[in-house]
Amino acid sequence: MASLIRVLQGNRNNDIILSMDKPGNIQFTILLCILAEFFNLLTAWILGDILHIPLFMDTIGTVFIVFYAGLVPGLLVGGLYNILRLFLMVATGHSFYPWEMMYSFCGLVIAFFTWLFSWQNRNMYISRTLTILYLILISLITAFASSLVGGAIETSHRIYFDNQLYVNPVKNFVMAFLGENLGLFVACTFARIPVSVLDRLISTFVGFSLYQLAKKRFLSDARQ
Amino acid sequence: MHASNFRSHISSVDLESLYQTIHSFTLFFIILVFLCCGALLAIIIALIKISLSKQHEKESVEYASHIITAQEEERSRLSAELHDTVAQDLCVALSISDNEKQREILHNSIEQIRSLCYALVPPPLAKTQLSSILHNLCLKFIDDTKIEVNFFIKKEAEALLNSPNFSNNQKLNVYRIIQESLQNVKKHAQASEVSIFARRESKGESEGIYISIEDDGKGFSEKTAALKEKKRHFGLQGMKQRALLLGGTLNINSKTSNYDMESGTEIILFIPVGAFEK
Repeated sequence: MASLIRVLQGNRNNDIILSMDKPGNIQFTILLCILAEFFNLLTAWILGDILHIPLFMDTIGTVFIVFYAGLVPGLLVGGLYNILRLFLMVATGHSFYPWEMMYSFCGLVIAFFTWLFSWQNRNMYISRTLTILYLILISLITAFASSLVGGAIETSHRIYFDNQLYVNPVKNFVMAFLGENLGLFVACTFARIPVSVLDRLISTFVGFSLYQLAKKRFLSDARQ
Repeated sequence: MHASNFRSHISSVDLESLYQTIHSFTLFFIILVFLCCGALLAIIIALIKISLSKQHEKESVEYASHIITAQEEERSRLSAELHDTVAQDLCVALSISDNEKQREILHNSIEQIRSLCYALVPPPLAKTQLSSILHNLCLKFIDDTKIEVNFFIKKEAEALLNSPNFSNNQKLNVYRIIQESLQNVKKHAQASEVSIFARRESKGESEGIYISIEDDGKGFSEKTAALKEKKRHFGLQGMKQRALLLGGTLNINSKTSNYDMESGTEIILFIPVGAFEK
């Protein structure tokens, strides 16, 4: 895995490596973080809660902010999303399930891997083909990683609480695995993969497109 | 039919069986998606590696191009410097010298410097055809070394080499490769005969021009070539870089003397037909 990451990232010891987390305008970055978080909540609410599309769609803002501002803003937006969503659900009359906050780890993992393959990878912007290939790679790797983390969280949740929280787009898939007696962790992890892959592909490409738009609009990003 | 009516017509065993079938299909679907994603991941990694190696190849061609351009500029500058300073001073010294011995040495030195200037400065490719320039190069080589040269370019190959689609930079690269090959024959080969032959191949992937420079000298082993490269003799490396810039290849076959084989070196430059279509 380490060698795979090394090959795909290119040479880290290169002077092109970008100094991250030093945005030129902190206030502007904070504003973008708030907007990205709001965007995450909005897409998840519209596509998940209203239209009932069986996808998570709650990380477009996270991907955007990672591409635009780097790791720490990305971790903040990704990590805070589930906490904010939980409080919003409680505020709108739903029950309080603190375990829901554990899914923040999925957001953190997504932010970390997106950062790893974009900010720490000098090869990503060499050509348009490579950019697209790396975006697909980021989508797949974040899908597998978030499925693993999400699967572990859901397994623990089912063991300790034996219930399901809110609406979960992978519930039926988990039931299919459990019906075949394939084990709880395998069920919770594998069941997430189809939804996660599709979700990550859409979120990564939309997030990156937003980043490109923002870069054109605001002329520069935190990298410069 | 209402759902309630439908339920009343099927038993719980059938319902259980139906759920089992749906679960099996769902399971199959998820495993299929997982395998497809794994395969997609492998394909993406392979494509990234291919794209990166192509990109590196492109960068190394650009790098070689910059180096060779800089080399040509430096050669021109050196040639002009030698001509305008040392050669002029030697001419003045020659005109004021009374000693016959001194005059002979000065005359030889001026000839050598002029020869050096001629070798350094790029040939007039804009005005003269490449085949004529190569012919003159061979004549000069015969004059300098007294080594016999067989020079023959087939008509089809000549037409392509002299074609206006073949840029002056490309022509210069061909010229420098042949010049360097002859220089190597002069310096190292101890040959009595050199053959330069150009032909056009018009079939399949190997369609293009083949130029071979063959001598009957003592040859060299791969070990010797590697040692020379290590000692910063970049002649062969430079020839290969120029061939790369032409989009072609340079193959070197050399045999040292053996009981049953004749020694010699053969350099084959291949220029694909695409290089003449720009």
